[in-house]
Amino acid sequence: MQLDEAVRSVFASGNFTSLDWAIVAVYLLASLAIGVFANRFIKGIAGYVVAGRSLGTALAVATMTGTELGLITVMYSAQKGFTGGFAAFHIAVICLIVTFLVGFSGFIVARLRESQVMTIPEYYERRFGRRTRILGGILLSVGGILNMGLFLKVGSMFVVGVTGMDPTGGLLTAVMVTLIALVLIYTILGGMVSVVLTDYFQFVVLSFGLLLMVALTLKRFGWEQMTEVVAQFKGRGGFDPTVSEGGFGFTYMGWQAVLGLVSCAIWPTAVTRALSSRNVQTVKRQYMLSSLSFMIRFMIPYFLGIGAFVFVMTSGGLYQRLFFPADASLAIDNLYAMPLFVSHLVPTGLLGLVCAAMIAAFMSTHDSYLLCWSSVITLDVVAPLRRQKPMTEKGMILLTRLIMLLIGAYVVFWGLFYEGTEDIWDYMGITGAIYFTGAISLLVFGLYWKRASSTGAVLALLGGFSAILGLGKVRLLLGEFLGMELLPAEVGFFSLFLSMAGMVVGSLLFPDPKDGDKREVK
Amino acid sequence: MSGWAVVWKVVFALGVSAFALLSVWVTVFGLGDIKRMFEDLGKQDQ
Repeated sequence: MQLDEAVRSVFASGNFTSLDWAIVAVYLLASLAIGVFANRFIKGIAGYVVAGRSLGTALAVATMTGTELGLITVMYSAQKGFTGGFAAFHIAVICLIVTFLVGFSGFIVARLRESQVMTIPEYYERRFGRRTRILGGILLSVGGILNMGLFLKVGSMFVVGVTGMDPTGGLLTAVMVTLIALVLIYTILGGMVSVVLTDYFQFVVLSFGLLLMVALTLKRFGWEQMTEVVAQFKGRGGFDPTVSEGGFGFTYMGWQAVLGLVSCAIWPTAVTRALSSRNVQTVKRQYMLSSLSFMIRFMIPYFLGIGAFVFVMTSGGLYQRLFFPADASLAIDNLYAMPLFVSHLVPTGLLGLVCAAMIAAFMSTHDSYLLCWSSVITLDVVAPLRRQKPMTEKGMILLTRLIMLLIGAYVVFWGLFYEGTEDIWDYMGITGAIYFTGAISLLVFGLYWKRASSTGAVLALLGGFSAILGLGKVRLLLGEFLGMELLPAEVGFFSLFLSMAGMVVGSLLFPDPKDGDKREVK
Repeated sequence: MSGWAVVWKVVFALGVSAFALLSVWVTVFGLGDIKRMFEDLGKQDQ
């Protein structure tokens, strides 16, 4: 919709001042300085991509949380709390349980770390051969780069909302370009060492910033008022995740368990932390400790989203008319609710620190994602294709940096021009599933089933690609064709089933020759 | 509904408290890990 004068006045009425801008500027300059400093320590591709595999437990927890608790996570989770109420907490609890169990058992991640690989597709090659690595690398990059396509725009919406900028002009574009330029500079310069260092400082600022916001929200409303308002407007669905009123239910909860496993043990940006750790014991400790962060990264933003909902419903008619007008098509994007709430909640001075923490969250996700996808393309697609004329380490680092620049340009373009109709969570889930439904099959069967074959692996990857059918308009068209309403979770489960069936059938019908057994990673 | 509200209150209180402790621990011990990382990288260079 067109944001009118009332919207502009609401945006400009927050507590953000020039003092807060100064705090943000100092923080960003310090981040750039870290990138320049870290560049001195980069000598080889292992140092660039996995920081020489030298992370201790505390630093590994900090960098894992720094990556996974991105501003995009805060934004879409706050949106989920805003729309789903306290019932959304179940997603966070499922994440905690699944991540802890992965750490306790070492499921997938311990064996991957033992295998000494740098990326998941590298494991594909050792276990299933070169063609699987290249196909896996391509699908991984396509899914991953599509997945991060809206990060920049959503993150910039937070900055616009919290600082009180005019959202109707071209400032959103200016913020997007500025943020991506900053991230590119220090990630290109420093690789994993700078990522780890900035993740540490960002963890410190971010964790205390989030705790501060929780305390201020509780001070402002109190738990009892929040539950009363949610009960009044959302009813039972605002608390009970097993009922469909809040948009959840048992199928949704089951899909969250799959996503919980994926986000900690399959998703490359998380697994890279396991591969960077000192040893298997560190990996397991890191996961058990990080399980708490995996829960909190959802739960605190849900809580802030609920706070934003209570703020909107108790702050008078103007806010309610903006977010819940009689004609729903005229509502302003509810992604703006949490930053607006924060800009009215946190006092001047502290607001600059909170904003810096959120920009930190944005940068820590972007740096890891840029590094991850660009190194996958370099190491798992380009390098295996150039076996006859191998690339030098310098050449690989240069190529990785060039690909980062291209991905940076893409996220600016995609954020400006993509006009999707699905919400952010659905978009991310389904673009991620293009990669992870196939990856689950390859990793689980590859690591734990001796008869898994390279043909089965290729079929599993192609079966997982069917998740693209769950994307927005494609899913609607498919539903019309089948004469039924399809949910993203149902398409996801279907793709997972197809991928696993492909692996089992392909492996049984087309086993690898005897020497294929040598590829099994113990 | 009130049962779920109590569950979420307890889970939230425990989660946030534990996260506060974790944040302090990571802040303190992470510095030592950074020092060791640079020592390791220095050795790998040699």
